[in-house]
Amino acid sequence: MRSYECLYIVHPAADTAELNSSAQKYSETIQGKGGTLKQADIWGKRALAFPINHHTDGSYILLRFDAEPEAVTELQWRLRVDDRVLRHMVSYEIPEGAGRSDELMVLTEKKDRDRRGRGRGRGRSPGRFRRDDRDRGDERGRPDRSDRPAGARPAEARSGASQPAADRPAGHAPAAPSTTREGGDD
Amino acid sequence: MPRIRRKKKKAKRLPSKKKPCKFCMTQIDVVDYKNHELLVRFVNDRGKIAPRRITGTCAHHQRILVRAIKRARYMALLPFVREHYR
Repeated sequence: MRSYECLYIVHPAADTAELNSSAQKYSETIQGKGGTLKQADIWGKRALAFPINHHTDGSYILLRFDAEPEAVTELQWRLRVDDRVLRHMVSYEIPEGAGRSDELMVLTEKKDRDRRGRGRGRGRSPGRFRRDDRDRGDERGRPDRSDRPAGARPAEARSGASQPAADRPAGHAPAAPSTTREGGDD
Repeated sequence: MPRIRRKKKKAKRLPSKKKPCKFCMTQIDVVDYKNHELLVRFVNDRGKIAPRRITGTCAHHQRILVRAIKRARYMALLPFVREHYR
């Protein structure tokens, strides 16, 4: 026997009655394979961090139980087959409250705030570039240059070279197509 | 014109003070993937896991933490990437 826990996400359209019956159903699956249910916690509906099957919300249910590995395979199979279950995960049990401490929350909280206040380069000297600071978001293509008129660059270059050539007598024309500055010195 | 190369002066850096591992300090050896309020503090605003040199977490606890973050991501408690960033 081992202690496991299973967290799964139910379709957002499920009401309280459906969530209760779902928790009940899977508890029975565990008990049917000789396991014992310790806790069935219905978290209720909450926003998902990213859409799953185009759903932005989902209801979470947590089951804590002791069971043999065979019961876990059975449970996982049933969860996978159920199309009202968007996602599920069985892991070894993390006892309630384990790894949670107010002291740790205070420690992490305070440090984060301090860093955030100091501008660029969170917590280290400003101006030091590290690969993690790089903004990868812009790497998807060439920068947007739609603000410039089409072919602006070549047109400028052409006008710069042609103007001094026009001022000059025709005989000097072959010297003109160098750079603009050299043409002016002549 | 030939370019004159000058030797770059190396900026002197003070040896940084080692940051303490917060999990060691509070003697916590389990990180719960369901505790997303804690986990978001070890993830930057793009959703990337913060390196140890930033958070000061020791190698042992970073491994535990990373596993928890990845589990939390799978269960949609934490984002893989924040799409609406920027």
